Amino acid sequence: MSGLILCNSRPVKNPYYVEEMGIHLYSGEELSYFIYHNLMLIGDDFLDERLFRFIGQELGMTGLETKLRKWAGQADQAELLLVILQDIHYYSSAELFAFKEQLDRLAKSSAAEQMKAKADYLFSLRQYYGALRLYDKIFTLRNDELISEGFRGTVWFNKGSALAGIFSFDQAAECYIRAYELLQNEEPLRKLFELHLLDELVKIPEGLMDHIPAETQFNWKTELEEKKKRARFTGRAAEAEALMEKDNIRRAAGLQALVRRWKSEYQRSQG
Amino acid sequence: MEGLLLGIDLCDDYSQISCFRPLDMEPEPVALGDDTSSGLIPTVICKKKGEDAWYIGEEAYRLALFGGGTMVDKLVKLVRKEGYATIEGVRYMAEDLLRIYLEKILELPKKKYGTEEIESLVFTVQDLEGHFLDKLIQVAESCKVARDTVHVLSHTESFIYYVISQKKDVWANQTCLLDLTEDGLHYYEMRVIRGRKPQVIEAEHEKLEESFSLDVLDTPAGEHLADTILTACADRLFKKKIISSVFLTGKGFMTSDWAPEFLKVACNRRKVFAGQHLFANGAAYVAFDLLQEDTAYPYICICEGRIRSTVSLYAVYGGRKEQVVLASAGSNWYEAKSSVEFIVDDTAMLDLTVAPVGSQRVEKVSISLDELPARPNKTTKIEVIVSFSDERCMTVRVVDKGFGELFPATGKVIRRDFFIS
Repeated sequence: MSGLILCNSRPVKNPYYVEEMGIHLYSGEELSYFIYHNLMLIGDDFLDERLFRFIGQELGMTGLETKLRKWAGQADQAELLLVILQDIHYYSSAELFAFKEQLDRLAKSSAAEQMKAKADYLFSLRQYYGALRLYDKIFTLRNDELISEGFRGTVWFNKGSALAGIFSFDQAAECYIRAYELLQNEEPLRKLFELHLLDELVKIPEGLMDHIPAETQFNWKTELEEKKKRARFTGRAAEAEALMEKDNIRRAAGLQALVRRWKSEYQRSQG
Repeated sequence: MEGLLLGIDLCDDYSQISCFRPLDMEPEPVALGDDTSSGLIPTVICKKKGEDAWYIGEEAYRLALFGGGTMVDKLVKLVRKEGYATIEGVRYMAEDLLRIYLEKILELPKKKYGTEEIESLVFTVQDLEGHFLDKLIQVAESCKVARDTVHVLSHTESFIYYVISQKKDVWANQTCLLDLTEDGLHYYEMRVIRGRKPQVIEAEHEKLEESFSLDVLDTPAGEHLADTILTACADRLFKKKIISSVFLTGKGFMTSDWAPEFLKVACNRRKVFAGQHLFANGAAYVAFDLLQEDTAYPYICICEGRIRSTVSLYAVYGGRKEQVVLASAGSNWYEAKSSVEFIVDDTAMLDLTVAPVGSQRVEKVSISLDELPARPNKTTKIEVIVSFSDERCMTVRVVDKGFGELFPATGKVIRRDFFIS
C-alpha cells in the first residue's frame, strides 16, 4: 500500500540504544526498520528487559510488551520478531512475508553459513574485529560443517579483507593466498596485488602472479589509483573537507563532532 | 470558576466589555465609571501633559478638550497599519498605546468583581486580519493574560453565538442584525441549515453602501433622511425572507425614536431587539463555553472567520487506511493550525482532500515531495503543518524530519499556498 503512514507521535523520553550501530531508536517505526534490515546484528539476547521496557513504557505498547514477556521463554525468537513487526504496523503484509522468508532461510542455513552471514554484515558496518572473531570461529567448526572448499575460500577472502581494514596487511596477504588456493580465481590475487601496491613490504610469493597478464596487472594498478583519487573527494574525506569551508566557529564545532563520531565508530569496531 | 470570563468588542470608535456570570448563565456589561447607561467606551487614549498618566474614554476626550494632554484615537486602525504616535517628543508604537488602553479597560471588570484573574478573554473585531490578530494577542499577553486563554472572533461569529444563546424561537428562522456606527451600516444575516448532523449555521456580513454619518441624526431633517435610507434598506434586505428576529446595535441605535418608518417594516411579524453589547456579549458566551468540557454550541458555523471546508488526507494507521482531518470545516481559521507526522511510503505526492460543507464536490490539492532528500523507502518522516491566513488561504508546510538517527533530518521545508473554496 503506497501513500502515507500515520506516525504514533508519542514522544520517547528514553530512546533504545543499539550499541552495535551506536545509534538510538526513538519510535516503533525505527525499531521495526532496525529489526527488518539488521537481522544479522540481532543476538539471542535481543528480547530482554531493556527492549520490553522500551516497547511498553516508551512506545506505550503495553499489549505487545505483555505478549513478548509471556512468550519470551517459550516461542522462537524469530517468531517474536515477527510479532513485533506485525504489531507496529510499519511494514505491509507483503514486506512481512518477505521478512518471514528471510527468517526461514536463516533457520535452514548451517551454523557456519549463519556465522559467515553475521560476520559479513559486521564487516559491512566496518566492525572488523567483531567480523574477524566470527571468521575465526567458523574455522573451529568440524570440516564437514564447512560445506565446501568454495565456502572456506570465501571465508578466507573475507577475513583477508577484514584484516586489511585494520591495516594488518601481512596477515591479510596470507588470507588472500589461502583464498586463492581454494577458489582458484583472480580476485584474491588482485587484492594481494593491491596490498603490495599500498605497502611494498607485503611480498607476493614468487610465481603466484605469473599467469596474470601484464596488461591485467596494469589495469588493476590504474583502477586502484582511481579509487584512491575518488576517496579524497568522497566519504569521510569529503565530510571533513566540507567543514573546512565553514566559518571558524562552525568549523571547530563540526570537526569536534566529526572526531567524536569517528572515535565512537572506532570504539565500536573494536567490539 | 473564579476568574473573569470576558468578552471585549474592540472597535475604532467605541469598545465594549462584558463579563460572563456563571451563576446567572449570562453576560453582564461592564461600563467605564458611572456611565452605566451605554457601556460604550471610546477607543481613545490621552496622555496628561508632563506626567506619565494615561486616560481613556470620555475622560481622555475631556482632558484633550481642555488642553491637558495629547489624545490618540482610532487605535485599532493605528495597530492595523503598524503606525505610531509621537507625544511630547516620544514615539509610541500603536501596540504600546493599545496595551495601555487594554490594561485600563481590563481594570474595570477586575475592580467590579474584585478579582485579578482572567480565566478566558475573547476579543471580537470587525475584520480578522492575520497581522492584526498576532499583534492583538501579543498585546493581551503583555497585559499578563495567558496566551492560551485569549481568543479572537469576528463580529459575525459573535453575532451567531449571541443569537444561539437566546431562546430558540428567536432564531427559529433567519435572524438579522443591523449595526449602525460611525464606521457605517453593517448588515448581518444568519440561518440554521437543519437536517444535518451536526447542524450547520451559516452567516453573512455585508457593509451596506447606503450609509450615513451619525451627525445627521442631530437634526429632524437628518433623522427623517436617515429613516428613509434605513427603511429602503430594510425593504430590500428583508424581502422574501422568513425572518424571526431583527437585532439593532451600534451607537446609531442608542435610541430608535428617529426611525419610526424603519421600525414599522422591521417589526412586521418579527421580534425586534435593540441594544448595545451584542458583540461583547456573544464573545463573553464563548469565553465561558471554551472552558467547558462539552460545548453548548454543537454546530458547524460557516461565516467570516471560519473555514468552509474540511481538509484531510488518507494515511495508513494500524494497518488500515484512515482519513486524517487536518482542518475541520467551521473552525476558526486563526486557531486552525494543525501538525501531523507521517512516513512517506512509496509516493512522491502529498494529496489533500478539500471538502466544502454541504457540497458533494470534493477538491484535491497535491504537493510534490520531490524536493525531499532521497532515502530508502519508508525512511522519511514528514511533518505536515496546515495553517490559514484567512478563511480561504491555506498554507501547507512539509518539513523533513528524517528517520531518527538512522537517517538524520535535514529540516528541508516545502511550502505551498492554496486558495480553497
